[in-house]
Amino acid sequence: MSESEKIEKSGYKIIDVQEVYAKSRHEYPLSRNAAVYWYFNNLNKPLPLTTDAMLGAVDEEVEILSIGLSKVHEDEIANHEDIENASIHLKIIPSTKITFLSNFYKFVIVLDMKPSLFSSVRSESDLGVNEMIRTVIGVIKSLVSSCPISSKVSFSPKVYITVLAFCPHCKPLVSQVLLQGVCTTETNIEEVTKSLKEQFDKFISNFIEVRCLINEEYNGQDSFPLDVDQMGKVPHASAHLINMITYGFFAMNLLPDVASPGIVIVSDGVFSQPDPINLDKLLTQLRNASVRVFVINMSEVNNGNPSSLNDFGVLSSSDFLHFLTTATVGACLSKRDIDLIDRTSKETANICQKRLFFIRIQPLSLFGVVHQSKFEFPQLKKKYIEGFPVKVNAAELISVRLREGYVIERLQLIPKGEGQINVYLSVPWRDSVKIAYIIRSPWPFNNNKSTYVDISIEGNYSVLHDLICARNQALPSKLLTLMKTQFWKHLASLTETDKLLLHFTSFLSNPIFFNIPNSLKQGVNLFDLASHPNASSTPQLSTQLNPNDVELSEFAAFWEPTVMIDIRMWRKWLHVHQIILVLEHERPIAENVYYPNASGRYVSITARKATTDITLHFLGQYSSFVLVESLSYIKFIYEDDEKSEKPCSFCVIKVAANGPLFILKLAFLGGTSSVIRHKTYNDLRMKLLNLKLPISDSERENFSRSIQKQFRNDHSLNESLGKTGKSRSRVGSAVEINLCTQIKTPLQHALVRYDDLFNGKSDSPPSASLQSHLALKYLLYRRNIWTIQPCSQYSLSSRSLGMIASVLSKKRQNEGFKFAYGCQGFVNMVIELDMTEKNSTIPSCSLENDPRENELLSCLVQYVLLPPTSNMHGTSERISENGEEEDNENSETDQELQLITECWVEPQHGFVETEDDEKQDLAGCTSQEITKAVIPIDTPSVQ
Amino acid sequence: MNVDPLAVYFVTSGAAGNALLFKYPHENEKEECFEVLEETENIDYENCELPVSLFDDFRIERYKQFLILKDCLKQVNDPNRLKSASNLRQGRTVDIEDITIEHLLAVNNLLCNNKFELKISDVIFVGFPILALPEHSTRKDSTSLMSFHIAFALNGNSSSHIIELYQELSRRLAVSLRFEQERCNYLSDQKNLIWAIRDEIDNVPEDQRECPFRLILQDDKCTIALLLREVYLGLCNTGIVEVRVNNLVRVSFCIPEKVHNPSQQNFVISFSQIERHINSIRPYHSFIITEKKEDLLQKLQPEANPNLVRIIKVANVTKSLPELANLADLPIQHVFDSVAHLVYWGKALVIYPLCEHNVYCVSPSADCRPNSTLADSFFDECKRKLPDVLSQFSLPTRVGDLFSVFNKRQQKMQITEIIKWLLRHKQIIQHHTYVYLEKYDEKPKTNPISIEVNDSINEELNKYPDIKDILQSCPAAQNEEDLKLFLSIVPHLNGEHHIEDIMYRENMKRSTILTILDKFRDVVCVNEREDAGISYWIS
Repeated sequence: MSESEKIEKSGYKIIDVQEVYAKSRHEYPLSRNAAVYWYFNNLNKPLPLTTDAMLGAVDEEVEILSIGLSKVHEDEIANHEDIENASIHLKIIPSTKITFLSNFYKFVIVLDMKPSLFSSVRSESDLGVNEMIRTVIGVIKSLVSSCPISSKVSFSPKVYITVLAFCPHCKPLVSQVLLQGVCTTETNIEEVTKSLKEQFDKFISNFIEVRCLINEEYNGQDSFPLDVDQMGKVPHASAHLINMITYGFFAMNLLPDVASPGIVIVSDGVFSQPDPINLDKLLTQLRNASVRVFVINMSEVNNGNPSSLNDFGVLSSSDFLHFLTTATVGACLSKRDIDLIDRTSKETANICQKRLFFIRIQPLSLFGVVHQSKFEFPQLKKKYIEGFPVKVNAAELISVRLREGYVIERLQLIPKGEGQINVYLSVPWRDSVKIAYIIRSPWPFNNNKSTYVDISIEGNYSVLHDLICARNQALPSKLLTLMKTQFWKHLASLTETDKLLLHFTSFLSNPIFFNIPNSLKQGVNLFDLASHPNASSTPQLSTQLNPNDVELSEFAAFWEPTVMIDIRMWRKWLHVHQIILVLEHERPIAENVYYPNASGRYVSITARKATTDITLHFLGQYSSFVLVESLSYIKFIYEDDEKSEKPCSFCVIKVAANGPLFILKLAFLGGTSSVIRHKTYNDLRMKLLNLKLPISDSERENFSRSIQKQFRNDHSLNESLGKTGKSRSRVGSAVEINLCTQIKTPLQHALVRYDDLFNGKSDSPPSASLQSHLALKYLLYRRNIWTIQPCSQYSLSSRSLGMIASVLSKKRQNEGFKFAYGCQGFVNMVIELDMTEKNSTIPSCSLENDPRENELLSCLVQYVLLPPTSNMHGTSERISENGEEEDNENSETDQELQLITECWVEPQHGFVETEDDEKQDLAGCTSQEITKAVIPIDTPSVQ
Repeated sequence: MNVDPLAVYFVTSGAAGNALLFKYPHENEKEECFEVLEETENIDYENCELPVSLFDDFRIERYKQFLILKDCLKQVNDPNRLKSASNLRQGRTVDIEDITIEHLLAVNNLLCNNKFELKISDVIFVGFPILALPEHSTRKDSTSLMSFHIAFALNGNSSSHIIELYQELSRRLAVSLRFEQERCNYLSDQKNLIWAIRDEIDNVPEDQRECPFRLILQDDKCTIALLLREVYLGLCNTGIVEVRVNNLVRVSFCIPEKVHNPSQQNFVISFSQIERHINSIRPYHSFIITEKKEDLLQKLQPEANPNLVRIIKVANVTKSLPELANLADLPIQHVFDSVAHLVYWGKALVIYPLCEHNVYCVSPSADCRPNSTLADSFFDECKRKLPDVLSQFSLPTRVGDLFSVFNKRQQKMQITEIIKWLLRHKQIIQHHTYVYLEKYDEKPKTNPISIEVNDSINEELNKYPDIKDILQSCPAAQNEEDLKLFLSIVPHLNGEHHIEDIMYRENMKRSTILTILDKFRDVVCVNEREDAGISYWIS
């Protein structure tokens, strides 16, 4: 007799639940593993009805917000006066719609700036460009308005919004970031939209200027040169969409980690189809970071009349966009949907909230809205490919598949006999092809019994033929061949993933895997990586270990894959967190950091001492054992603080160090509860931040007076901001300073670094040859060129410029900047400034009691010193941030010396907040003003 | 039916009153035509074989203008167009005073931002008058411009669809102009420029006065006049408008009735036929591009979807749309939409993929004259005489049969090229085989042969009670397999589906269908005709 039957017999009435809204109990987003566990744990089980329609079972991770019942049942429950005692049980059935919500969301809205914006096709009365900004504001407004999910419960998450303008054809010199990282609420919405509109207008007027120039240039010609390569197969424009999403992805990294991410593309929908390889890469990237993609299509004018109203050649690729959004569990919206929001009832969540906030593991329909077309399309056919058993718990398998973009189409419960559940998963693989993945598992899930998997493919006949029947034949086009290869790769990768999943989940099954061999306990690393680059990167058992030890080799065999897996693929199985640190540099700073020595070389800024302190001493002790020296560590996690012998899980720590920049990645096994994960993460973070670096007396003498002053300032800064607990203590004569500073922004992506292109011998100032073009496009930027006019009395050498540079860098250090990079004369210093929404120069309530404290976002400022150059042309230019080149003066002389400094600022919305004297000049600045504020500070030093 | 506009007007109204700022063509247009003609008489440009380098830019420009105006004149001199009691002079020129037009077209603010239509005997004025500032605009206008109106004069007998199209075009131009006005005062500047020219004329003694519109056109700065002229000429020459307002806002528009009825075509394709052609696209169809691929690719503006380039590049008359979609790695729906788009713009025709089973026949509108321009261009491309080739298709002819005449492979290629040319120029049509199931009124005389059929077939048979007996009387029905196969295609044997359609719907080979039809020939009858969906000759 099943449980439900028992309850039914005992006089309880069981009601099927139609809808459930659930959210994470903590402030972290709900992992897919947790969602899957919760769903399958509660599926088909009668749950007692408790107050306010809460399901009884308390879950560690999931909290239920609201339950939707059919009208009849709702009335019935409403009639019961005392709900607690009502003999009613609720049951989640396979058809129950489960909606997960998050406490925080972050959306990067990318505006697709194209020449087609200047066309009147899309609306009754305005050009696309005006429609676009109106729609964007409409979206933001509809997101922050109250979101009722039932008659009683309303849901109001925190929403961080970044708005970018992406322009493919030309690079306007104004900032493409219209708005960054604003926690938008109903109170600040007016202000936010106003500022957005201003930025947009500024961008547009610049865009139009460039556009007019281009149009004029081609006016005389018969045709515009279309962006098509000579070979003729794939136009270059195919990268457009990918670039746009990558750009959005970059911006996403700068927003808080705890929020559920989404990229919203506002576009006319005219996209070229990306080629299969890049498309797969993009989808993998998005899925790994669980970024959902939404598209707001501006061009859906007249349904069912695709051809008539458009400009010639302007056709929306709506089918592809549909595919892209469903493949990332996002959604397509049309401009009309947004326009209608105002007119719809406010009693339910509006369409924007429904699509952007509600996360479902079972979509309503896989291919979205039924394509309303007047054409007849070939019917989809289904072809079975393979079936095999997998020795993994079905819940684990489902979680991994969900991470790969699969969705649960439907469930089938067969209660007969031992009980079986069939879970029908599927993933849209191409616009008209989907892969169906059926998991047959004993019900309830059982770790000891095999799960069976059937894979089949659905698509139209010719695609299936090319993919399957013609597997070993040559196909007529390169594209088709690519597609075929990608398909079989995908299937192969599924098997690979399952193998590793099985491998990881077997961690607790064999004590050998978690009993650390004695030889390792002394801190000996398990593996050596071949040091010379030509050798294969297969890890070799460390030479200090005995290769004949059977237990050890078994232990090693288990841990080997952790070293091997590509870090980008981690997220398929593991939850990844990262800590970014800037380590204290080596003192003293050599003068040749700023100018070349006699042989024309520069000295790099390093942090060897701090690096070894962390990798050798700290991590060696913190971790359970060392996997690869200075690279990978394993930390076992115990349920009750290492008292028990058996760990419950483990965490991989991977280190990437580059000069003072130090990045730690923590990866937890899939399914590790978010509480444990964040506890471990914070624990490690605090320990790292408390590390001290002693400074010897001899070094201390090198500290200039200003640096001494820095102690005081830093101290006061720490107290005022209560930041990362960094402090400097004086013990006797020895001075200890913090070994590292945490940077919240993912600095590895945003760090401005110059390539080797500029070797100091070139005559012209380096062009913007940045390693990261995205950072270049994204960050606000101002370059200052200090031109030193040679005069007869003094002879200036690059050395003297180097001295000035070093003074400037010391000034920055006083302000709290840290060296993040220094190579070949390029020196990058960073600081993170806290930003508030209100201008702090206007006195407001004290910070410590501010409930919005964790909403504070930081603004990364990078100060780059370039190696001194001599200007042969005798013109000095000062390029201001909006690209105007102002000729200061033309001098006739041949040899001018130039010192170039650059300021790169994250375009964070808000005002700088600091109570630090040294930074008073920056207080109250917006991110755009920071770039300018630095010059007056520097000017006296240079003079 | 002539769908060309008679004229285009630009009217503004504001604090200073109403004004007709520009119209094209203007009164002197006709004389200009003659002038140009006289000038060009000495050189026979059309047959001139001078190297192009000898023409200076001016002359080339003139030559182009000449060709346009010659066409205009032809129509002016057409005696059929002459009408009496009309607002049209010689059928082409609107014979209404400028001052009247000014009053008619400068509308009250209440009528703005709406479609405009006004018929005065045989002239219809259509447009979309619009307020110079959008409703939501925060800008306070300092200029005296209140509203403006780009209007077209059309023939009085224009269909409602044509009127709607011109209103839509007027709306697009108006919205674009308003955007530019809001952005950079474009309209006000242009207005002032035109007024300045007019003021200049007013200072000249009356007998020496030139037509102001002509002077406006000569001013390079007066871009709105040049724009409207470009719009007008585009509509008259090709039916396609492709302009950029103030070098920025693109207005791209097409009058399908004009595009599908080029001047040399000797029959008229109606809009409903174009629509039906587009709606009849089926997955087994293919498409043929009506011009050279390179030319078409060049016409794509930077706004165009790059996927179109892919589709045009893979276009192949022997491949069906799903095959092409697969080749280009694009969604099939997208390929359908793109083909529909190309057809609408007159750049493509939907055809059945070329194969040797296809049957073609001379089209009702084929140009059989030996020395027509069409025949000449055919000769240039295919090195054959058009009437000779057309005579091959006097009777419905299978392509495969032609192949047997031209046996060599190279000749096969040649015949493919010829058929492509003929299809592109609508000189031949394809015949399809339609099959009907005969339904006798009376019972067949022979007694039905009792056949042992299993239940499932019997069940199928019972679905067609009226033909059950006939079917059973057919000897072929004795073979269970055959009967089953035949029953599966019976739903399509109503004359609405040709064999190719049945092949697609039932996923069968042509030979299978032909064999089974042959076996059941006693109960079916066949008929060969055009596919009504994509035909331009069936109204």
